[in-house]
Amino acid sequence: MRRRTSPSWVSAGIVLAVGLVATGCASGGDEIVPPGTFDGLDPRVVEEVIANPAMLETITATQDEVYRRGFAQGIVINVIACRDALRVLEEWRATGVRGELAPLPLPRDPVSSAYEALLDSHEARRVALASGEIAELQELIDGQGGCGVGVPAVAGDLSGPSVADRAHSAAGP
Amino acid sequence: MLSLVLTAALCSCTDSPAPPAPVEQASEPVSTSGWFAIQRRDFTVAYLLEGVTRDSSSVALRVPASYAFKPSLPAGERVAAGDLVGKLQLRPDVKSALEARAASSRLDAAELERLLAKEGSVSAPIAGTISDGTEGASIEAAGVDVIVQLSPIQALRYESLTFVGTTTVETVVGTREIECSAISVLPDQESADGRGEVGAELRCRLPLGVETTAGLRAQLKLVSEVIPDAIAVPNEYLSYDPIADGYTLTYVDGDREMTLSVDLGPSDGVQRVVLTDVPTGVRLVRPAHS
Repeated sequence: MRRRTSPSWVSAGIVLAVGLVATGCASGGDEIVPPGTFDGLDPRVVEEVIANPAMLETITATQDEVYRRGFAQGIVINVIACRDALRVLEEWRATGVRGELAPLPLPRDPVSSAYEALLDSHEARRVALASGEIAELQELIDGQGGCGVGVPAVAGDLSGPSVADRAHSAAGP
Repeated sequence: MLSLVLTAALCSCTDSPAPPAPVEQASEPVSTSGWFAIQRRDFTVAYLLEGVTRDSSSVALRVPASYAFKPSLPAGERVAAGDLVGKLQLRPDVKSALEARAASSRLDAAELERLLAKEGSVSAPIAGTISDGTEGASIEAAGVDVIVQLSPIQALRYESLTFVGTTTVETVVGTREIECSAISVLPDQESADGRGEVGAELRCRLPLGVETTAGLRAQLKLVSEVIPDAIAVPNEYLSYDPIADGYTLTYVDGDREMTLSVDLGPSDGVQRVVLTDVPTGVRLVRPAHS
């Protein structure tokens, strides 16, 4: 089934990025968002997101602290969860065996409204996986507003394929 | 507001002279990281899809691609559910091609037998009036369908198998699980999306007595026919040969890599049935394009 959702805040931020690049970021993002925002999340992905100009632009585009914390957590979690969805998709294609999605990462102090939206997206991917129709999962990764748009497939490789590109790659006849 | 923002966001056949291979059974494909071992198993497809109810005026008579429909009643005739309306006949070109290969290919002979077994009478899935429109024969009758949007590739896949469907839908007496009276896949010219694709609709006709209405979400469970003792391999292991205009599989035979032209059957989107005999137990080689 083809789903068409609105462009995501991740992809929209990347598409619309105008080059607002913060400089002198402290490791862990404490100068971008209040301390503790990223606690509980993979610090390598946190650093990757902060070093990604488009993602950083999305985070810093708002002055509202709660929004900024929500975007910051959301982008980091989306990168982790979407790469995990790509892993499941690619293993499914390669082996014929449906795997399982990893649990959604949980920050120590999640912005609840943002995290609920992330949980909804994660649940949608879980339902798509359970449907047995691989096109359903692929659509949630590479479709319009899919989680993989603008997310580098390989951490830090901004010039390489995105998660969406990899999901969209030919899967044979 | 933040949750709204985030919700929006997150929201040619080879007559392979393969030696007879021992038949093995497996409930799941066997693979390890980086390679895939061929086994035989019963192949079936099960999907659990989200759809929506919609008013409908007809049910298309399903004619699989390998067959032709020969009507036995004229358009405009009234029929009851279960009445004979025509015959499915294997298309002459398909039949002659399989017959030509059947003498040297055990699997082609089996495929011919399987297809011929499905020839026969076609019954009206519902009561109504026979119509012979531009999209093929159908039974005109008002009712409610559960619609699932399909991409063009999905439609191609779904048309290659026969499904039975059960839908879970809200009715005036609560949520009920109901068997579809008929399942059809039709082009949906209005569904062209941003990629320029014209999609299709899978339609599950609800029985007349179901008190429901258009515009409701519904879940549709589809289960395909079983292709017994089939070889199915992940699509990623198939290569297209532009010279032969066909597909090939490469497998490891001792210390050699063997490439075999193969005929393909239905797919579930991940795995594809291989109609050509391939030795079981061999390890497939993943093509470079994957």
